[in-house]
Amino acid sequence: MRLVIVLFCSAIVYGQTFEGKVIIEEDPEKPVPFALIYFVDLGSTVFADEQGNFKVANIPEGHTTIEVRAAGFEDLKTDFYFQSGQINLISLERSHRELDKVIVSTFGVLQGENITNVERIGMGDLMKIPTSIGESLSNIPGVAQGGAGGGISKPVIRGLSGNRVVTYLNGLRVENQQWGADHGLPITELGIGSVEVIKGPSSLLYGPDALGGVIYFVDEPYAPRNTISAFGQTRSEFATMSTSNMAGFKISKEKIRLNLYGGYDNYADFRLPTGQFAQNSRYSQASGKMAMGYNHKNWVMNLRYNFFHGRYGIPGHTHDSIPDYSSFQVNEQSRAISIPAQVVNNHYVLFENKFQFDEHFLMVSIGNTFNNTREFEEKITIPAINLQLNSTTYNLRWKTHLLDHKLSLIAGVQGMYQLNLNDEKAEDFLIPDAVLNDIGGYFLMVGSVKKWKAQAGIRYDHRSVETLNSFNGVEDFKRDFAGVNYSAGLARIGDKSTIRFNVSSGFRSPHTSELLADGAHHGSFRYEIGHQNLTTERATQFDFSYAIHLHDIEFVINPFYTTISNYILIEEIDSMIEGMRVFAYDQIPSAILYGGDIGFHYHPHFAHPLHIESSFSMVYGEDEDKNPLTLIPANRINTQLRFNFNKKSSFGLKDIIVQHIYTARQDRVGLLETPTGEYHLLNAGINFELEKEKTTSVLSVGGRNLLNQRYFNHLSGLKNIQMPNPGINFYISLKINFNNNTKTK
Amino acid sequence: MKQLTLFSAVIGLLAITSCKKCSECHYDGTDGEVELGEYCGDDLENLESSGYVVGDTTYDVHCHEH
Repeated sequence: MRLVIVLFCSAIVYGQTFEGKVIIEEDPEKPVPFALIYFVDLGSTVFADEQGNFKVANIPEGHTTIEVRAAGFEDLKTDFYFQSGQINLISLERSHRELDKVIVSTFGVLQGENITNVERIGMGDLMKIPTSIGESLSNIPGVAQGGAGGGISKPVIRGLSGNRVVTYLNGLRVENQQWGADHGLPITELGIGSVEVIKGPSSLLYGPDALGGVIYFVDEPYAPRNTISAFGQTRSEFATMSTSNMAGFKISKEKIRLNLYGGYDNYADFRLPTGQFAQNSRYSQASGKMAMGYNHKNWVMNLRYNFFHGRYGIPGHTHDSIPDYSSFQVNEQSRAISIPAQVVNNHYVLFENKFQFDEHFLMVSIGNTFNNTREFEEKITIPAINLQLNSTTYNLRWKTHLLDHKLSLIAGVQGMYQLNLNDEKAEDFLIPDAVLNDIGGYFLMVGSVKKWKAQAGIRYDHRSVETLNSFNGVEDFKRDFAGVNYSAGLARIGDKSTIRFNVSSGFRSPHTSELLADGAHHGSFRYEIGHQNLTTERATQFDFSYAIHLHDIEFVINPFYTTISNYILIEEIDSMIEGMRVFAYDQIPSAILYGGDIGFHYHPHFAHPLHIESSFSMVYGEDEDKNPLTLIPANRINTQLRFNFNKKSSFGLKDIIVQHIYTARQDRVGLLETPTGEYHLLNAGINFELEKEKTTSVLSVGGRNLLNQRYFNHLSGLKNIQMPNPGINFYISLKINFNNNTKTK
Repeated sequence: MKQLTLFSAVIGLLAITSCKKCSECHYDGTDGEVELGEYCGDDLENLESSGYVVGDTTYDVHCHEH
């Protein structure tokens, strides 16, 4: 026992102060001034001075992952070995271009442990022409937007959504009744720094249900050491007469860091292209966020808390057995609290600990998401549906580097205990009270030789689902599901090209809503009927990606092919109950989804301010008889022109963005699903910047759907009530950032 | 600054705690809609929960505009 303790203690390396210098790779005598060095595991940042020198305290000796950025130089992400008693040199390559790492990225939380193609995009880039976070995600190739209009937005990755897309917030799996077509993303843009998307089955690292993919939100980093920063932002939109406000405060000392945020949004009914309004599409949201980081010797801790409250009007309410859809489009705009409405309250807590032992790395985290979803349909004070979902997750991951960092081994255990309860005073019980228990273990190897990287991993999961009481005549419902998943991939990451090939699998057990539902779901505009005998879905995806990155242009092609056995679907049947169209869950032996993304980013040397980006995304879904699946996104071309300007004074034009989105007609539709016509959308934005000594202000003006196109989103529940999407919409936004050093020199 | 913060917190708390839901309510009688007037807070909740009794009949109450 004593020997174990001694060996354990000797493996712990203590936090020290290191000195470093950022230099130019092509000319090592010259420094890179004011480079930003971000310590990924610490979540903290230091800046080099004008001589490229920097000091960092309280990090353990050994390998640590850093990202280094400086204007005019290629971004660098590496595992760097900091040594005491010497100047640690970091070399950056010059770059005469500033291509955004949108198309091909080696950065991000997820990419470091994945050969799978991971799209990473900063929130600043996603929000160049501001909109809801759900709609902004649809700018990512392969990602579309479903939902029920207004503030209810659901991401669709390569044709899959709902329970097949897992959402993470800083390592915390977020559960919010995502089985519901009207249960949107439980996150606002408040405090979010970037989003990373894995397209396709990702069960190896992210557990059961990640069949369609993973959306991983990463909070903004903490303020640089010994600084205080704050911001305030307000935005208004014409189509919804909305106000969206947020504020944040960051403070970082040597060892402790704190981020605080608060926000409130209020949107009235949205304006249609005709000038009328979508009745009861109004919504409001309030959110708050706290993140605290602390590090001591070889231990890094992050404690995060998020609060979210949203109230969403549900359009299309009627008692008529044959609804008059035109009655949902009215001449008066309102934001008054009304019903029917969905009210959501979420609390997220994550306690994450990271330990570094020279070449070994251990992460231990525990988190909880509490979601309360209420739908008020006929009564203002008594919800028809009142669900409480309490999910506790735990995650242990161990990583070690061997062979001089050429081989990494990762092993982990993840689990979730989830309790879903209906409030006894609710009028409807759409899904039963149930307990869900997940546990899974995985092992992954990642090896690299020169420019080649290979990965292989395997995982086992077990899930048990048990109802707590009789539900719709079903007694003692208990099922167990188990699955083995794998992932294998090969990549060559060269200077001018990147090739990736990946095979991955996933599995998803049927949800209690798919098994046992039997009732009206007003928020989804349909009556839903479950199917008790559904079995586990299993998916395999083949994903290939080839990207060329030359001096002025980047081009990528990314086809995929996914097969899903025992595919669970929901289809309309020829019936009406309680004035609503009836949809029933069913299962088919197999489904195939295939397609891909093609994109380019052109930044000509002769016209430095200009960036041209365009991507074409296509998805086809069909069953084994080649019949089209329902709710498959239409093909889409998304083109963006951006002009960046170098201001000559403290105030000036920062950039102009013009975006054109063409969505093709979708006539590959399922049984009783109707086709949706093609449409063009034109969006534009102009940003001005004012820089003072300690403040930076950005004034943004612009508009969406500038052609006032009348169009329907094929994936939106609003289509079921013949409600088009919003018409022309102008916005104005002001953001002010404050920065201050807390230490005097 | 401290006074302003405290004042804002008090105003915020009052705003939240003094907010009562009120709504015009009616029921669908045998001869059409019968208006019941405005109900607020606990009275509103009780009315929606228990319904409105006329003689031997308890009517389901609607307290919103469609």
